[in-house]
Amino acid sequence: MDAPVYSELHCRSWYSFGRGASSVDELVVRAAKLGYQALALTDRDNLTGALELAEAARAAGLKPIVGAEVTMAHPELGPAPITLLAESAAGYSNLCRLISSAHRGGERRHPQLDPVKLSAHGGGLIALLGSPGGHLARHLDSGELAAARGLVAGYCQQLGSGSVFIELQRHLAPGELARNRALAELAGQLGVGVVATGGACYHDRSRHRLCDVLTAIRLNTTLDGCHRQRHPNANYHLRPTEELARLFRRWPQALENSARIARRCMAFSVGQIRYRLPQPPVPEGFAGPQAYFEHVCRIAARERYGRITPTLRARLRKEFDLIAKHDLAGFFLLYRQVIEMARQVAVELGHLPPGAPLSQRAPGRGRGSSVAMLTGTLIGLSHVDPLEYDLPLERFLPADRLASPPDIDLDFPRDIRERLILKVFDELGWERAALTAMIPTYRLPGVVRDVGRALGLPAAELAILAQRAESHSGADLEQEMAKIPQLAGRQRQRGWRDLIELGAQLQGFPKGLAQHPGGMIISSEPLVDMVPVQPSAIPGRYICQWDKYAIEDAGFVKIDFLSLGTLSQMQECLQLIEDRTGRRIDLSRIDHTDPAVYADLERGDTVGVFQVESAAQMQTIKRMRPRHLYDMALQVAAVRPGVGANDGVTEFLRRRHGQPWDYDHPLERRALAKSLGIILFQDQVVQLGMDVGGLSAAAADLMRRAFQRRNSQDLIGRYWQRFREGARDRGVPAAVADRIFRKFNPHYMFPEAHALAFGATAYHMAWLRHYFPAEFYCAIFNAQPMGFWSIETLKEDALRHGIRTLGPDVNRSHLECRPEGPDAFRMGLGFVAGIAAQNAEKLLAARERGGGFESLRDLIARAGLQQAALEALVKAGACDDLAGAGDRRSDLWEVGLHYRPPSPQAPLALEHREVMPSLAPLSPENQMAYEYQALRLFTGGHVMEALRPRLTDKVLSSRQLDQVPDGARISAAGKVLRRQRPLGKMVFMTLQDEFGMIPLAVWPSTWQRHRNELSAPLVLIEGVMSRRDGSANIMVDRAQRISAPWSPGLVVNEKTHDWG
Amino acid sequence: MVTHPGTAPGADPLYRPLNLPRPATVRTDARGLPRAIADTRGGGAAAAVRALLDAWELDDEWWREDPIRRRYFRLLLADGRVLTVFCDLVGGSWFRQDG
Repeated sequence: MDAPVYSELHCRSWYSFGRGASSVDELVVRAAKLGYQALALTDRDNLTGALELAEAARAAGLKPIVGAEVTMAHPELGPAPITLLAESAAGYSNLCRLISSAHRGGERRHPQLDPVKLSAHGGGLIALLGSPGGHLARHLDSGELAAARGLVAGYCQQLGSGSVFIELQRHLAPGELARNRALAELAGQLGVGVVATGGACYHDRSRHRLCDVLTAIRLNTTLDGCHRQRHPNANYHLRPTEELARLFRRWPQALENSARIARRCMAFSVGQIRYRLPQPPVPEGFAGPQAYFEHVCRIAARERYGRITPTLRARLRKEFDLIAKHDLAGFFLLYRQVIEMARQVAVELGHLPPGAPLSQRAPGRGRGSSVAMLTGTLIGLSHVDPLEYDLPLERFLPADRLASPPDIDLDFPRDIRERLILKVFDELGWERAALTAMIPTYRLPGVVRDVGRALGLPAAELAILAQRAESHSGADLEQEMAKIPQLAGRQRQRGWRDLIELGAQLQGFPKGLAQHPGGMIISSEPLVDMVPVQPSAIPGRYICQWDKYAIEDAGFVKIDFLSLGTLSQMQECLQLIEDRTGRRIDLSRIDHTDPAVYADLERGDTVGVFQVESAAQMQTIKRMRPRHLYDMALQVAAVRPGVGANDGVTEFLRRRHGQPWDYDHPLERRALAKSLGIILFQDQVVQLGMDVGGLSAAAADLMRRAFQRRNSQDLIGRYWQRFREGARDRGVPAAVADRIFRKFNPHYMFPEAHALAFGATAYHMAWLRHYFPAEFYCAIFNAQPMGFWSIETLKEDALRHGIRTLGPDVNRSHLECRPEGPDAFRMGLGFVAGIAAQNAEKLLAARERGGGFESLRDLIARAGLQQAALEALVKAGACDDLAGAGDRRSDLWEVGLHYRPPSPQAPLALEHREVMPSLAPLSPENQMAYEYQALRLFTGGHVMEALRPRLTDKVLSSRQLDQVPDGARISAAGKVLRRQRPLGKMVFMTLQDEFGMIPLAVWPSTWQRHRNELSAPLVLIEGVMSRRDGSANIMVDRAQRISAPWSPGLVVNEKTHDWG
Repeated sequence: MVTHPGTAPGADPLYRPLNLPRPATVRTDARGLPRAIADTRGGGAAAAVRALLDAWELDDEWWREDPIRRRYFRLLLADGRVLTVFCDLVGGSWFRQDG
């Protein structure tokens, strides 16, 4: 029998989330190998893989078909899918709308489409009915012929009978033969075609086990618990065409129709969907968006600079011309519209006075290469004046061709961002705006938990494996099990053996669609014609079904609204300063070359300062010695993985301090002069691609992106060819070209403009910290979590700057922290662990109504709090100043008396002081333990103060370290703040004692030997002082844990910043 | 932890019960399809297969000690009887299952 021409029209990938067990790539490669003509990807209720399919199919020489299984509602049978395929651009748009509608129609995670919608949006679609589990099959399985006929007739009426087919599948499943006979007979009666489909769920038979496991995971049960929903056998893979010819020999027309339908659908490709850049409305009197945009910018330029100088005019002209060339005026006007919305939000929240001009009081701060645009600054996109730093435009707007629309990121304070997203949905509607999807994927802990549970393995042992494994990959389970004593030796046991095998397969699988932190796509035309949009887990928000890579491939404009805790902190800090001093500070007008601020930075005195507070930044900034904003840009850019990968930071700092150097080739000069021949910025990779490799600006930018994409080795190889040839034409020897190309790497680097934006913000925060420390520390407490230092560390640092952190007080505290004078701030009641925000608010409301609390009893009577909340307040010291308060231990006793069980009438109206026992006074150590428990810090001092008397003089404190010479042996002790292993080798730790920080470096062999000791919250170490280029570390060779004699467990409560 | 449902997979009403398979002697053709079944009541001649009415496969319980891999046939015998048999693909033996 000749092998038929076959196209698979019904196939699910891993994007069916729990229903498909192969990646799009695996399916495409297998389909091509089997000689299929085309492959339709028909994932359940989504088009997430559509662009990936197009790209993979193009590479494999296979025709891609866009389709989906769409879940249809049914009044009696409940929801079940049909298969829809797009045969034209109109059909594709309809499919997007139908899927969007299904997601809006059903519950979240359980979409269903009202069949009526097919009438309006059925054009250009082909429906395949009859797959197992679908409504048609179920009618026939139960012998309801009339209902089956009615169902098919209904679809024919809506889509036209030429666009409805009955699909026959052959998996050798029980009951299948009879069903196929019935389906074929029905098709004959109704004059509808039959079509052979695979109903494939994986590319290869070997994946059927994973498919079974995915079914169990999806249904939140074990393999034994989902017998009915699992497939009966392993035949749901892409099968050889000869086998299909044999299986469908009774229905040859079914195979012919497969080829026929494929031909109809092949005319359309998802590449035909053209996203048009937004074209917001333009006021009357302007010829078009460009004229209006130029007008807006000129007005803003006059406001900002007073007059338009020739330099300004020339820069504006250059940018206007580029914007006109790329037809981006509407795009920028849209940004202006969004920023205007953000301004309204900021005004509503009281952060900005109404009427503040966008170009001077922008509500957000741009990041990324867009900061290089002067016009961007003028419409409020950024806070950096690109003229001052001669920022190159090429990375953002190449002169030749745009590879994709420019990418613009905006940072906002958290509260503005939240409201802004909702406002954009409100004003533009969900059909025109959606958040970008993010696709979280399986890593080791999830693999262990989910596969292990499906296999019925013991939960306790799975938890041990998930927690202790050091690898992040489910492919390493066998090695990881061998390292864990409780599990070693079980790798070949049934169950565990399956976990190892299937865990490796599941590694990297997408788990579902989630919301990207801030990426939004906005369109002038309805987005739902281009990509399905579905509600997100957060009410009022919508996500599109593509992630950022797909969106980039489709050429969509993505705006990233990011929330930056630092901006929240900055905003509050400015407000607190204004409240205390009456002075409104405009950070864009402060002295950006203030030696006092740079002196702090140069000392590495940067705890809490945005971007420069990490241990690596602290060490580097001491050597960088910044003196102006561009130095700050160099500083924040230098400590990035992409720079560190080539040891670029060290080399840069050496050169900065006078080490002689030269370019690898004079053609590097234009790109690298600013950074002493070292690549610090993304833009420099682009510039080198142009100047050395002779690439166009757009091609050089694509080359840079190729390094950052997944699985792009082939692509990088092709760019290397072009780069080498271009370099040869420019007279660059092959070895030199190779050396230059090797400097490019996949690790992240900042664009120059982004570094400037962040560098400026870092300077602004350092300036606020220097001149207004009370407000700075108060605001950083309120902006927690900021993801870096704990409040304990911040409290210690505040104290070093003369700012006292006062504990909470039921009569003085607010919900959040507030300054008390210029050198102290009071912690808010919201910081007391164990008292929920609404309880704190209840207490504050009672204080508002009836005045301050006179005694503990008064507090108990009026605040209406539960016992646990009151105890937390006592432990935190919030009741210390109440009249008649004893020490905290007796106060706790008193609280206990009030709530003495089992009286339903608590609190009792008795004078408790009369029945109070005489308790031993609370020791300072116990008080400290209470505070660590209730506040995560000890307001009265540092744990090391209490421990110091137990240590000999040989154990040095952090303030004695400066006198220790290089190579000297030294002991030190402290509380562990962080542990990091940046390159997977040396472990870096920071200890804190009562005076400051102690930097440690631990060789891997020492780490292995002392891992347990160094993992303790309090450690005593011995080692050798190592000083290099102005930085210092103790190279640890011995370590022991310190156990505090009083409740050591309480101190452990605080989380260290590990492995960040 | 999800509790075990307490029912054997074979008890599911959608599937044929897998209970009571009895060994059978089956003669097959070159493609492995059954052509004749030894008389199950013993003694008599083998019954020829007149037609294959249906065929299906099970590949299940691979996570258990004894995985199930079977190829089933529903047969119309020359004497008019209808019989279900399966070849156990793990051990290679034939069984009849009339339930």
